[in-house]
Amino acid sequence: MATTITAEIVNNTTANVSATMADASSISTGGTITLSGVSYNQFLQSLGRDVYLAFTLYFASQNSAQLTTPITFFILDANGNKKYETLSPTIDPYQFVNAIYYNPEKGLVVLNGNSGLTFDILANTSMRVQFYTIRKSNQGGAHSINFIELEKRENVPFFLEYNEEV
Amino acid sequence: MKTPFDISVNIVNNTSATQRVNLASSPIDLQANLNNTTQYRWDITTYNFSTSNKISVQYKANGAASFSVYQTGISGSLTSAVAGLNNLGIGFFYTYSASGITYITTYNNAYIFGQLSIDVSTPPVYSPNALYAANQPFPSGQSFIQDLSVHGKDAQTNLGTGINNSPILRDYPAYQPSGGYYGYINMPYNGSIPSTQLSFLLPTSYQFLGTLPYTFITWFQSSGTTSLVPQTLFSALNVSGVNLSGYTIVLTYNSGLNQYSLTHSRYDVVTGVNSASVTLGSFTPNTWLCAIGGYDGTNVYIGIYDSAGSYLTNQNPSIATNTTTASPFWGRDSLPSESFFTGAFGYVAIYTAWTGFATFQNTYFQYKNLMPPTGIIP
Repeated sequence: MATTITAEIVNNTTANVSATMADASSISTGGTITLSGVSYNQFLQSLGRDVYLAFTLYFASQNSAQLTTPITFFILDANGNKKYETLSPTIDPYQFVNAIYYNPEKGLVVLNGNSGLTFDILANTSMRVQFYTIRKSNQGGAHSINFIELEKRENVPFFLEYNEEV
Repeated sequence: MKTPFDISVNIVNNTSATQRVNLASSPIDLQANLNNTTQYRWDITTYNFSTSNKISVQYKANGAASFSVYQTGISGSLTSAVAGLNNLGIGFFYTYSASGITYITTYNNAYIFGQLSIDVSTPPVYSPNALYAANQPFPSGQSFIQDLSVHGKDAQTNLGTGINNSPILRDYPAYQPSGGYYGYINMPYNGSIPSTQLSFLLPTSYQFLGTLPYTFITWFQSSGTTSLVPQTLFSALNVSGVNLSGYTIVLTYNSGLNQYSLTHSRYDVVTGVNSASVTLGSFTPNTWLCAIGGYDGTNVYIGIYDSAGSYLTNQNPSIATNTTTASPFWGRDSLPSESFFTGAFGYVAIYTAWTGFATFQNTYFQYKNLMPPTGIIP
């Protein structure tokens, strides 16, 4: 015997969880380029063409309990299966710290459109997540592979940063 | 020199419930759930998930012509229902309450959701293969107690001196109290002359040889003075060489601890004994108790509602192979020690399957208010 319940559709003006690109100037270091003036969806659509290797993550929330919430990095493998890696930023929950820097294992956190962070965000809570990254772009297309091959053969990095945005 | 590049995202949970977030995953990730404004919710306020075993939901991508249906098993709780829906891998489902209404909900701008269906599990219903309910007049002069099931497994009246020594039912004082209570049949103490102690001989098929499954459920009250225990409820047990073979369900008393226990044992002449036992937290003589003993081919089970109504169960693995040659009895064992039962039975049901404890609990609640008041045994 089954009970069937019809879905009620509610068109809200506000998302349950909203994400916006933040002005990172207040916490950027000198010489850093900040991704700004774009929407979160535009950022998502850039992924794949642009690949970001994150060497430091920054989490900040006025709700210190949010910073003790487990955070997991996931990436899709070639078969489309999600592989998970737990990040372990640690803070003392009794000191009410509201920001933390975390250096993941080198090469672990790559944002390429098939990866991301998954975590719970507590009720009525906001959090800033900042990725300090090195960006790689495939705007050079297939030619960049030829450059890399040439560098390997000659053992001279004369095309260094040729294919990276400045 | 490589140039650092910062990406900074502000994330805000605008609800009063904890939300799962997938950050920086592209739109092809079906669980990407940020900035979705279209909410689907199902009112589950009046629904009790405790007996639910499946949940399904209709879903389709925007623009798709028809719904697909995702179905998954759940384990009788709202938490497992939400976890099951999240195994769909499209967005995130969660629960919340507002204005006295409890919802399962999800936000999604890329997918459309339709009906949510929840299935109620239907546990198997077991019918006794023999039912001896003392809730009817006993035909005086009869030498058997009638099996009220359709199987005709009557139980023969029996004296302690051996099989087929059959007193007639008037030798078993039977009572039918007024007030709508069920009656019972009395098996008074006559241990001073064991040859005249009353009991019942069960059909041979209730030896339950090998690893055949079975269940005994009974309402009984024991005279229970410490000098009268152990008292056997059901048994088919004999000595084979130096070992025992068969099964027993027996009430025992530990004088050192001043505790009563109910134990169900299966004996194998090769592998020994496997038992499951419960210690009664409360025992009062001449008080109705409901007990179960069973075997499913793998485990031996015992359970009882004690004098305080506490529900006690236990189980243990049992690989014993029953090779008993003894006849099965209700109210005694067939060993020379002849541990007779002294007290009264109001209900005996025998199943040729392990019914699970759910059937036992149903029997307890079905009869608990119909058993006559305590202490009316003469």
